[in-house]
Amino acid sequence: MENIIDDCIEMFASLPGVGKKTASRYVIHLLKNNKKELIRMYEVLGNAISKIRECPVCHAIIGLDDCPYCNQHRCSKGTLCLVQDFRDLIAMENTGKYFGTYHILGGLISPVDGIGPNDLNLVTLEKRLNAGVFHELIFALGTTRESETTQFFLHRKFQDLVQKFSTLPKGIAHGIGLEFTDELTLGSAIENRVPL
Amino acid sequence: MFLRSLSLLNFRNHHVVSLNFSSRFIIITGNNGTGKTNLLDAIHYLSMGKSYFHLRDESVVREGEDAFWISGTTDCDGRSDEIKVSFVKGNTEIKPKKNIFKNGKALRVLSELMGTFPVVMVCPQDMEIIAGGSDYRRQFVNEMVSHVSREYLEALIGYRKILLQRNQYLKSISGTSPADPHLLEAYDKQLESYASELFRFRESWLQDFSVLFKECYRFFSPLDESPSMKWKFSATPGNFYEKLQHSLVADQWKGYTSVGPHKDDLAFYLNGKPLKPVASQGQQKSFLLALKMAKHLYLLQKTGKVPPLLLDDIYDKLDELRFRRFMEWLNEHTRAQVFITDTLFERMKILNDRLGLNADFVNTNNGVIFYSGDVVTAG
Repeated sequence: MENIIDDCIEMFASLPGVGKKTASRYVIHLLKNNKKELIRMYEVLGNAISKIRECPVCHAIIGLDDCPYCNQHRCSKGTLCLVQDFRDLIAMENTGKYFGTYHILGGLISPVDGIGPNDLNLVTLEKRLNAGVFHELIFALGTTRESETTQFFLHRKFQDLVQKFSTLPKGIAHGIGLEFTDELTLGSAIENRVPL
Repeated sequence: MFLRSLSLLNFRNHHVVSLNFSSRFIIITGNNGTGKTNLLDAIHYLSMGKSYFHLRDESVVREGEDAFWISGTTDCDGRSDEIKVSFVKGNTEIKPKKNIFKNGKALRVLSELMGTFPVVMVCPQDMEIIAGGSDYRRQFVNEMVSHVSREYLEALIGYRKILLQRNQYLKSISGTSPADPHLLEAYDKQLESYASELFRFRESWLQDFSVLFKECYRFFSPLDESPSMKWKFSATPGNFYEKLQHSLVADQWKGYTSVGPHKDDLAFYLNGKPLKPVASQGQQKSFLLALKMAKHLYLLQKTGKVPPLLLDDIYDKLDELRFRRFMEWLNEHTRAQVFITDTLFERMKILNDRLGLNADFVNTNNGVIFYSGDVVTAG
């Protein structure tokens, strides 16, 4: 019995952001009072496993139907937005301002973490860019040093395949006063100011 | 800038310490191994968020304990700041965690602490700045400039992070495959940009610092002695990228980058000749003290704050004349708060009376006991 509970705790603790204490709380909560909830969870997750897949083109997580993120309508816009992972794709979608297609890299180049160019989804990216459908490649990779390295690398690698490269500007967050903005962000914002 | 209070919990050999300082001079006496230097290192933690002696956070937690905590209140022209540094050791369940708070607000990164409470430490190990490898001299400069320029600190952090990635990449392909030219270019261009910033700041620092340094050196030495210093840059912004390309094959074989600001050295001279081979022990000590005094003046000039001086065991290491001149400078030419450690209480008491320092005394022999004048107060 103890081993079964330990296994359950281990499983929950393997989720991002969940430590052993939180995992124990989840397991005890589910096993003690919520058998119905547990069975429902089992069914939903089981269903998800059988009906969810990775799009072989853009690497988004999708259902069994055609990928909603790289269909012909979206591709016809001619822009391809590079994101690190599916969460970033969802964040971009939530803006309601972008209507082109995406490509999920699956990571950022960081030799210190054992991630090199070959660990990213670049074979499929090159294939898509070679098709000549996209005139603009948008980097939406964040502002870490790893993202800057990855962006620089991809820019050089694909500079002959795309006419235009763009990146999201660094700037001041919405609803935040200047006094609460750090010097680097504020410096970047003033350098990249836009005309009214 | 004054440190008005210092509290420690489980920091090195100290269990619980709570001290309030009212005087400009604080003299800490006690036998060897009773924790005098540890009190200074705790103050350094409040300044830089880390040990002056490059000790890992884990190793400064008191033996048998899981965490340490340091808290201090600083006072700069009537403005008071409360700084706290805490560290909890990791185990199989949790990761080690260091937190730094300024006025109750947790700082996101260590670099946000820089410039809040600059201090100047002087201790026997500092002779390495003169006699040791170039990394001691770069550290001396980096720490000083980082206190006054966030841009410099960010460039330094950025440079180090990219350098680490480049070196790891070179190691990963060493002897197995040729380097990807696009990826190397990505690293090299980023390094070039950071290196150019560092170069600009280091040049400018030297111009300002040299003037202060020469003034300070005169305190100890005859007028005919002429000290100087200059940067020996590993590369300049004009040739850095080219040098990186030139050394690529060797770097790939070695698995690290052999040119760049991480290889710059600050060369010291006396009367135009390299300091180390020509200078006597005394001249080297004068040179070192002048470096520290100039650092104090530089931080004052650039931040407007008068950095406290933390003097560890310097009485034993200096001859009578230099010590007297240094104390005269501290007493009459600065407004700085000064912490001095020594093994001999009587010696310090005489010094206090002779110079009229009106110091606070702390004794570490039986726990930490605080004296203000003749009155023994809280422990």
